[in-house]
Amino acid sequence: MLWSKKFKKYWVCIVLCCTVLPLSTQATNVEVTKVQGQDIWYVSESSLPIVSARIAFRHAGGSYVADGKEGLPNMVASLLLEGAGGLDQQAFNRRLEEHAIYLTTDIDKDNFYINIRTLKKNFKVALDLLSKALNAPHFDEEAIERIKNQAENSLQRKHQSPQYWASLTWNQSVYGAHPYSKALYGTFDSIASITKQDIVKWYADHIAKDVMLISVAGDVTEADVQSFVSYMSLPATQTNVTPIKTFSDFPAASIIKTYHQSPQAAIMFGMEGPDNTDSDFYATYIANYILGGGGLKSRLMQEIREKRGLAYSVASFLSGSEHVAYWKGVAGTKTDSIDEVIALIRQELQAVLDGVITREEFENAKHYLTGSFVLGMDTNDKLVRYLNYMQAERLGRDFLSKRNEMVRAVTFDDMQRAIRKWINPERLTIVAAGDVQ
Amino acid sequence: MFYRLCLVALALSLPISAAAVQHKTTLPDLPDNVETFWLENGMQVITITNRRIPAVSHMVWYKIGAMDEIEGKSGAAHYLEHLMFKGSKNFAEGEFSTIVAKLGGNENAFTSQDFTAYYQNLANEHLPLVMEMEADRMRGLVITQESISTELSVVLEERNSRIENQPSSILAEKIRAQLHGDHPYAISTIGHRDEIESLRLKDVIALYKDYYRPDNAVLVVSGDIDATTLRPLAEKYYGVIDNPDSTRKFRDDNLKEIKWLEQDVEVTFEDERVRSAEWSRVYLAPSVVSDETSHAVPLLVLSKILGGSDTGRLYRSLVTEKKLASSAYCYYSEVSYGPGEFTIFVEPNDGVTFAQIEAAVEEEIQTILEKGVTEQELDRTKKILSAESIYAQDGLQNMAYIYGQVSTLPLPLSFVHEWDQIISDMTRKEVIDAGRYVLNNRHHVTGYLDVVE
Repeated sequence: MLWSKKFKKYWVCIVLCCTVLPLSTQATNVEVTKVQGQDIWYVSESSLPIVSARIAFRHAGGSYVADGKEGLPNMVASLLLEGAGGLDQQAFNRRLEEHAIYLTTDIDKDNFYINIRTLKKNFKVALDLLSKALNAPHFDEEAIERIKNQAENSLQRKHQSPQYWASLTWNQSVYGAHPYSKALYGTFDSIASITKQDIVKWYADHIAKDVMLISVAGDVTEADVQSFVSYMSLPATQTNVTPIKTFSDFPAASIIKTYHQSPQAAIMFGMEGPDNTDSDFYATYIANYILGGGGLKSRLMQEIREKRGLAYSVASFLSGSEHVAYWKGVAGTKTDSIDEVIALIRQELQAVLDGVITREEFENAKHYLTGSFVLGMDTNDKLVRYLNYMQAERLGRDFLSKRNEMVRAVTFDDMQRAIRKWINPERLTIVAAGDVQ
Repeated sequence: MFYRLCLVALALSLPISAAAVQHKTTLPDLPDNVETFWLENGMQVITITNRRIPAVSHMVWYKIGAMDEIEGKSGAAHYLEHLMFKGSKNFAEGEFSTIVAKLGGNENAFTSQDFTAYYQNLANEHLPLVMEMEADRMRGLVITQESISTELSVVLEERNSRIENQPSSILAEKIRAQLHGDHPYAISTIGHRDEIESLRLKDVIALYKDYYRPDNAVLVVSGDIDATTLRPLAEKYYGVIDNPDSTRKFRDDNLKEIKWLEQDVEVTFEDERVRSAEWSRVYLAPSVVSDETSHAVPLLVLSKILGGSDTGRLYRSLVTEKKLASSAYCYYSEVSYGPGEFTIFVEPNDGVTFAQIEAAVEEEIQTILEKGVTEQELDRTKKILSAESIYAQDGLQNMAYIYGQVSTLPLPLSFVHEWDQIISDMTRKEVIDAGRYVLNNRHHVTGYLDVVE
């Protein structure tokens, strides 16, 4: 099932509304229960009679697919909701709607996810439908044809976006032959080539209990949580899955201009970064907040938007996948200003490398990062998303209460050292997608 | 997710007068965790208690939006929103945002046709300081030619990113212009490009002086808060602000009225960037504010059944059965001061003509208007909408957003709560009567987004 299209005509924000989601109150108690060797993390919170859960299957994401079949995992994710357990697409979706149950799937490069939200009173029905989708998806020919068509259409629309084009180009330039260069949503050729056989085989190989991570939050008891596992009848282990190797061979610096017909060009820049278990991670995270993570107040925003009016939005962030970590950023500016914005980005990176960040900026950043942590997990959906991320990244169940300590423990010198280690202009790849010659 | 979270409330559209409820804190028809009161200067205050996390969402809503702009000065309201961050009497340029960040808060602002709002989400211990700052810029904004010199370019880049960069948004803008004619809704909130470019400081200041005043504003605080705790703070920071001597401006009542189209209109936009065609049809419809006919809520239900998800009539017919399209949905925007819009949207498959799409859509509309909706469809939709009321209560800001919207429209706050009952009581006849009122023999605007051959 696809989301119904939303026409957001009315809202115009001063800042492109993209809040970073990590955060939780000290008081959030993350419990664990074990069923059939499976750990499930959960938070019991009964102020509202609702439950959310997120289940990840590791090593079943967009990069875990054969050459020429890119986009297959994404299609499988859509197809899970198109008929299962003896209920055809209409019957399945009607049953979800009759009980106001939201069931969705999504993928990233590494993992495959299924999400559920339900009223507590419909918990058993939700589990039943969730397990039907996982245990016995139909993968009907009719549904495959329809979803393929939607995937193609959706890809057409993505290609209209300069941001999408910049991102594809950046991935291809940096990752080269590494599986992380595989397009998450496929190519027109790859989508067209996908068959039912491909789908059935990929699913049977990848979606298994040994790679499952379950997070639950809301009006649940331990027994409720345990039933997630008891409803599943998936293969015990993944098979035929080729592991992905770590990627750290970031190419020498380059500026790539690629044609895309838009009045406003999309710029993407990035280099290697520390992963979130690296001892430098929080030091770098603080530096990133100051450079470009902090909304209107970041150095990039100040130079590019506030002082010169060249962009509505410019930001940087630390992120990655299981086998790669990077420090990336994005900006949007009109064609004529591409060169100027690129120059300013490089100037700011160099300035930070040269030690321009003050102690005051450093302290303010720490205040923000610790103070705002309480804000991001105000709903069950956000909470399970974060718990699932913690599980996948092996951050530990007590991470929520330790995270602020880790930020506070960073010294000014730690940050400067991390900056010198991790800002590498000679390994920075910059892509500009726009109306360039 | 099938349906977007929306507020719909209607039935008893008698605007509540501030004087009548000035001394009550909790109205009998509000949920237990929602309270409201008024300050002496006419500013309404609403609190929504949700103690899940020790934080609050602090919002100030102004009853001014793009629809209130002077002709030829479109974009001024949104531009003013940007300029509100440039400094005020006691806080230098940029200081507002620096302080919010230091306090570990997230902030933003938004403008629509009907209102402008500013918010900060942060730990509740820091509420007083953001109240002080927000109150300072309500009447004490300081903007100089220098401080705003780059902001116009920023707004133009924003327009680029939201409209010019997306062919479907360019078409949507043209459709709105045709649909609304002389009504201010015909112009995008962000404004016409040439009019934005011609905006001057005085245009913005005029709007600010006329509309940014306590009796034209609503304070909404949700989260770890209640009225008893908030009242002294509200009095201290907002209660001391005087209204200017000038009379408060009120929106023209006429702008609530629907001016039905006198003929069908077609708008085509072809562009080299378009890689897959889109078809849409938009009808004018009553909004919850202008709805003397009580059709708005039933119309919402109809829109869900006709095309709210993959189980909708449109998807089943056009996508699954006839294979004419890859998606087919409809959408109704019912919460507005002026007329609402009922939109049908289809993405045709390659090789399918717009004429084929139209025939199929018209057939589905005909069928539903003649034969009505089934009990199962109605029941299913009721279940979803009532569950959404519960889901909406999860989260720091959702309810503040909803109450903020309602408070800036001529609707009583009780609508938020009452609509559950309205939905629950809805009959199949009401749904179809609403559909017939809006769709039967009504003129519409059809938009064609096409590839260049």
